[in-house]
Amino acid sequence: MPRTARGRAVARLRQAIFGRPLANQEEIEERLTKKKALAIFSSDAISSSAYATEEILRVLLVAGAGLLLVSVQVAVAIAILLAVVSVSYRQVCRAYPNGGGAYVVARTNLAPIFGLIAAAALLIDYVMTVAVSTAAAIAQIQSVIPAAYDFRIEIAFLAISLITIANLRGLRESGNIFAVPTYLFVGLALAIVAIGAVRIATGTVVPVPPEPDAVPFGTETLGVLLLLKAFAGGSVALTGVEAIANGVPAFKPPEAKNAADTMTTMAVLLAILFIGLTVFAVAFGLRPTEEGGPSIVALAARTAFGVGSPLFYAFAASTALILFLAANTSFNAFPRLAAILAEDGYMPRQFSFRGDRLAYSWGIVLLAAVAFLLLAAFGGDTHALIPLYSVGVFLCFTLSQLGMVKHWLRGREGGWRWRLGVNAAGGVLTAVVLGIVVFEKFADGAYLVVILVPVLVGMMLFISRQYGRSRRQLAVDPALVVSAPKREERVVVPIHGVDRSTIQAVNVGRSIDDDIRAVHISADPDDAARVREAFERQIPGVPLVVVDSPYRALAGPLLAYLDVLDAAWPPGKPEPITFVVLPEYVASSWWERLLYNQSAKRLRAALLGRSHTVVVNVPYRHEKHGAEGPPGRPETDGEVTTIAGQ
Amino acid sequence: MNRLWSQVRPASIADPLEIALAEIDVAITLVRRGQARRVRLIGLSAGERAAGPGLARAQEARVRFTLQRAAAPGVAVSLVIGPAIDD
Repeated sequence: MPRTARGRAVARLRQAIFGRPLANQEEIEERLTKKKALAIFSSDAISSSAYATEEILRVLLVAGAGLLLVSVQVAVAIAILLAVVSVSYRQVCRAYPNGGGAYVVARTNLAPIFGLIAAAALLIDYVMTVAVSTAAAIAQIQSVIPAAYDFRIEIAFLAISLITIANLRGLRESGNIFAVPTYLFVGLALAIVAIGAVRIATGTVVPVPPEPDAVPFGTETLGVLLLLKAFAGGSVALTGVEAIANGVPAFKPPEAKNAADTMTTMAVLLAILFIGLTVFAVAFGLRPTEEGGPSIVALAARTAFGVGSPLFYAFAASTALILFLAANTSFNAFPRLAAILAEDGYMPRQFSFRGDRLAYSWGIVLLAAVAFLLLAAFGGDTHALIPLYSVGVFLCFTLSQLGMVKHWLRGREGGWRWRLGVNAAGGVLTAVVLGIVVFEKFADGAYLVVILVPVLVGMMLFISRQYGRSRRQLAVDPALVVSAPKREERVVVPIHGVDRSTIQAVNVGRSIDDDIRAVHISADPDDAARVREAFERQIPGVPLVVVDSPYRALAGPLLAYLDVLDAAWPPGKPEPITFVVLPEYVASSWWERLLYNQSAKRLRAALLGRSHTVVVNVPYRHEKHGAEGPPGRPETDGEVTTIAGQ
Repeated sequence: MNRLWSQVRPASIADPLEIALAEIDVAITLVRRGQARRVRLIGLSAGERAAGPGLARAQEARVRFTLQRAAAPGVAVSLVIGPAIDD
C-alpha cells in the first residue's frame, strides 16, 4: 500500500477503474467457457459478415445490375475457402495447445524467419481488426443516426478507450460484458436470413428501391479480373479465423478440444450468415451507398424487420456492438502474441509483463494507440481501410498451413495423410488468394502492408540480436564457482555543502569502508571556504578534498578526479571498487521533484558504465520529528540515517 | 602550461600515509593538467607526515605546495596543492 496520501488516492482510483489485483492462481478462474469464447474470439470473424457482402457488391456494381447475382457464387467460393481454413485451424488448435497460431506453427516447423513474417502479419492484422471493426461499427451507428458521421473519430476514440479499460480489467469481465451482443446479432442476422429464405421460397420478394445516395451501376464487362477483385474484397470475411488458435490457453480445460469445437461453430455460423446475407441483398436488390449512407446489412435489417421497428434498432445496435467486440478480439490476441514474441526475445520484455489484473498491459495499450491513429489517418472510412486488411490475414493462413504440412510430415501421427492433404490444399488455396489480394488491392493500400511486414521483421531481428548480445555478455560459465571478493574498496562522496542529506550520505559511506573522502568541487573560493569550514567543524574524521575548478561544471571535474585516483593505483594489484555515494533530496510532491537532484542525475548519467564504479544513491526524505532531542544528532533507522530535532 | 605532470606514482594503498600520498599525487596531476586551479586536502589522518614527501613531489612537478597547520586544537591540517608555478 503506498505511503503517501496521493499514492493511496491513485491506488484507490486504479482499483475502481481496473479492479482489484489478481493472484496468479486466480487466472484459471478467469478462463473462458465455449459460449463466452465464441463471443470473444469469434466476434471478429462473425462480424465480418456485416461488411464482407458489401465489399463484393461494390466491386460487381461496376458491371451492372445483372451481374450482382455473381455475388452469390463469389460468396459461396469464399465460404468453401472458409471451410478449408477452419478445418486446418482445428488441427492447429490440437497440435499447439499453448496458442500462438501462425507464428508458433511457422516458427516451429519452417525456418524462424517465416515465423517472424507470420508474426508481423498477425500484429498488423490485429491492429487492422481494431481499426476496421471500429470504423464499421460507427458506420452501423450512422445508418441509424446519420449525424454520427460527423463525429466518427470522436466516437472511435471513446469506443477504443472503453474497450482498452475493459481489457485491462481482465478477460472474464470482458466476456460477461460482450457475450449478449454477439448472440443477439447472430440471432437477428439468422432471422434476416430466414426471412429472406422464406420470401424467396414463397416467391414474395419485392425488390427495394435504391437509396438516394446509392452507388450507381456501371457498364464494365465482367471479366476474370473483376471477379478476382470481388473475391479479394469479399475474402475479408475470413479475417479473425486465426483468433481462436491464438487464444487456446484462454479456454477452460480441455483447452485444445474446446477451442477446436468453437472454431467449427464459428465457421458454420459465419458461412450461413455470409452466404445468407449475400443472397438476401441480391434477391432484394440492395445496393451499397456512398460514404455516410446506410450499410448493406442495415438495409437488409430494414427490409426484413421494417423501417423503424424495434427489431431493426436491436439489430443495428447489436451489429455495432459485435463489431466493437470484434475489435475486442484483437485486445486478447495481440497482447498474447506480443507476450510470446517478447518471451522469444523478438519484442521488448515489457510485453511479457502482466499487470495487476493478469492482463498484458503494454500490448493492450500499444494496440489501442496504433489502431486509433490508423483509423484517424484514414478518416474512419471502413472501405479505405479494408485493402490493408486481407494481406496479413492470408499471409498468416498460408504460412500456418505450410507449417502444418511440415508438422505432419515430420510427426506422422495418426491420420497424418489426410490431415496433410487438408493443410496442403488450404496452403495452396490461401497462397493463391494472397496473390490475388496483393495484386488487386496493391494500389488501394495493400502496398503499405507489403512494406510494413519486412520492416517489422527487421525490427524483431534487431531486438533479438540485442538481447542475444546482452545474454552472451552476462553469461557465466556453469562450472564457475564464485569465491568471496578480494578487491579493496574506497568511497567518494561528492558534496555541495553540509546539510542533512550530505551527513546521511557521508555516514552511509563510512559504513561501506574506512577509506572515504568527501569531494567538493567549486569555482567560487568563498563558497569553498564556507563549505570547508563547516565540514571540518561538523564532520571531523572524514577527509575532504576541495577542488578549485576553473570550470563551472560538476561531472567533468569529478570524473577527472576519479580517473586520476584510479591511475594512482598500483598496476599489479586488482583495481579497487570505487563507491560514489550521491546524496539525494526526495521531495514530497511530483512537481517538486522537477526542482531537485538535477546534479545527482547528471553525475549518475556521467558515471553510468564507468568500470569498477558503483553508484550509491542515498535518499533523504523529510520526516516530521518531535521537538525533543538535541538538534543534529544522527539516528540510524535501518539503512536510513535521520536527524532528529530539526 | 609548458609541461604536463603525467606520471602518477603508484602507491600501495595500505596505510594512511600511502592514502595521503596518493591523494597528493592526484591533486598534483589535476593541477598540472589544468583540471583544477588548486586542490585542498583536509583531514587526512597522515597529512602532516605526508607533507614532506608531498612537497618534494610538488616541487618536482612545479606545483605550489602549502601546509596549513591547525589554527586551533581539533581542526584538521590542510594541504594545499596548486596553482602551477609557471602560471
